[in-house]
Amino acid sequence: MTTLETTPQKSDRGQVILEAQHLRKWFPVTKGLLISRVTGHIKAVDDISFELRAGETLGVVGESGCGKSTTAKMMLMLEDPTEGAILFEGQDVHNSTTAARKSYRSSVQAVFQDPWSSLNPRMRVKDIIAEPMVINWNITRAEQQERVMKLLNDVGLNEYHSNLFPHEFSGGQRQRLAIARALALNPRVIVLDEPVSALDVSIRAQIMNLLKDLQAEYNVAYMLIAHDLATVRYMCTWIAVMYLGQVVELSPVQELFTNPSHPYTKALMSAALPSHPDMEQEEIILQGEVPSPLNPPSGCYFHPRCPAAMDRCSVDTPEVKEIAPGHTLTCHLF
Amino acid sequence: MATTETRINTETVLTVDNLRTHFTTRWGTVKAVDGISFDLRRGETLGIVGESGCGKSVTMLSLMRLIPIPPGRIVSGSIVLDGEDIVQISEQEMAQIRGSKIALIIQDPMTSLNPVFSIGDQVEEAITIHQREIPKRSVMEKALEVLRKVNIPAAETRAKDYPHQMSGGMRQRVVGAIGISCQPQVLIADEPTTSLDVTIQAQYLKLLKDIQKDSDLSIIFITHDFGIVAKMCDRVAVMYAGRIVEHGSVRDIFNNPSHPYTEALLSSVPKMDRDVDRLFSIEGQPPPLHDLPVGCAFADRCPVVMDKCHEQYPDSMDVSDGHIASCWRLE
Repeated sequence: MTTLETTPQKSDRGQVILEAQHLRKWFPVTKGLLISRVTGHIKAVDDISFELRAGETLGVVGESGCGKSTTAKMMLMLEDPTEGAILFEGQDVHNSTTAARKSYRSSVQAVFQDPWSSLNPRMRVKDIIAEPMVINWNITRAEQQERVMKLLNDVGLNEYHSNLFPHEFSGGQRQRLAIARALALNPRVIVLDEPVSALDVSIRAQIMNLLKDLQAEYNVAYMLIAHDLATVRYMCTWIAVMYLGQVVELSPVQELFTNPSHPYTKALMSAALPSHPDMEQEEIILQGEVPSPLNPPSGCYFHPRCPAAMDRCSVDTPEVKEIAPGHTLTCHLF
Repeated sequence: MATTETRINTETVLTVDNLRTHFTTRWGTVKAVDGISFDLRRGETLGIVGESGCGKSVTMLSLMRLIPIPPGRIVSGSIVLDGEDIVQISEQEMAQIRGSKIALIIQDPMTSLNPVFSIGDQVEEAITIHQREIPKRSVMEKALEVLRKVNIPAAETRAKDYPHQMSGGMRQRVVGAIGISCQPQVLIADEPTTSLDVTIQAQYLKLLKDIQKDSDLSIIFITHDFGIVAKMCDRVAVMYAGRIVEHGSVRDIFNNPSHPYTEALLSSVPKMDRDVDRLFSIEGQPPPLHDLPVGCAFADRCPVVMDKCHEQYPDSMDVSDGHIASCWRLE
């Protein structure tokens, strides 16, 4: 991986498929039943920007409530952003024709965490995988089934599985089915929401390797939502660390792991479990818990828990700074 | 099984010998735990690692004598806690021991706390049941003391809260408080941090370590995560299909994994501190526990399988002092 050097000459890297510009998602909090009024906003996502390139994986890490799932939902058009824009191949998806929005939806697919609830138990595998094609493509039943067989082979299952129901599969195999369904429409982007965390340890490696192989084959971009830094290091080319709805650090993966700079990223790394009993880790135990996004702290959102907080952190909101090519963060220390 | 002979100054608090717990089902007898032996010394942490269905949770339930009978049954073996075999004693006697000498923290703090009682009441309940000598008026103080021990801020006011008013990390600390309220000798922690966020997990693990240091508590950590083992445990038992396949000190296991299953598991986990080109992946699935093969249960997935592996289950063999593994390759 030579992301660091290649960043300035962007031509070396895959083409930008998807770009998020200053996305915000505020959920109104209302009071009163008959005459309801808005008393505040939950700032689930508060001004984040990133880009996804073909063949690359962007990892989004953070604790629960940091807005990573809301970001994923906006990418999938399941939520409309309050502000900001999503550009797909240069075009703003929210201000475009119905046809363009439909094509966006089929180009951005998802694989969810729990393969026990993301597959319809009453449908046969062949129908589950064919369904996106039935809806979006005008092809014959025979063509659909031919593609279903190819997809099943791609994800390491065989033709005989196509007549079974989801309950006849193990967790790892179900996740393979979910991946096959996501690939059915030749998507450009797949949003992976914790795709391995519900699986057993020995099965996780199978699925992670499969996802990497499929990425190489289909040149698809992944957006991986995860909480485990080791998984992210293995899977991703870029990492965005989120805290309370904001991206606090965004960097190529190698750079982030050799030079983690934001105090929150450092704390996350020190809290991650070691891979060997003798592994040296800085001991940073963060005090307290993530504040409520309804009423985030003043200045830098992280300052009440930050071990390196200064006076100005509680007053000024830090700006985005670039400390190395492609490595940006929001912190007053830099 | 020849267990470790290195305890010179250390006192053993729990000895499990050849424990078998089987379940009768319509598919046949499920040998969920089939002949496991280990011992636990005062103040040490033992990790029991394995995938789902390997028998680690049934081991935990057997130690607590919480196996549903029927369909389950402890078929043979002994669990000697503090000089007493708790397999043989009556349910009434076990009720006295459970919670006071051996306590349990389970995975999900949302279901292990009662939603209609305040957390203060729930901690007090454990104390009144097991420490009758404490007068009623000081039970409250004792409960607050335990809550302070697990770092609940403003314990006096938080004790009046109900579980839903607390965050996941706080709730898990309350469960921990109930666990340690009667100064048990053995604490079994069954994946206590899987539902917590990483920074909260780090806080919780540090808290457990501090409590252990203060009170010389022995902890059995049941987990599927080698990261937790690396951080918390002194010794490790790796389970596969109802048996312990490898057992040794944490450094033995990480530096010299001797059973192919342990080796494969360790190399299939992505690493935080270095780049891995491609993870090793174990093909296939664990065998169904009601229909175990004659020989080694891992034989079908094993990269270094021999003919003998399909014929006979390997004895546990010494790798080094205190480090044993059940594999014919070591013969």
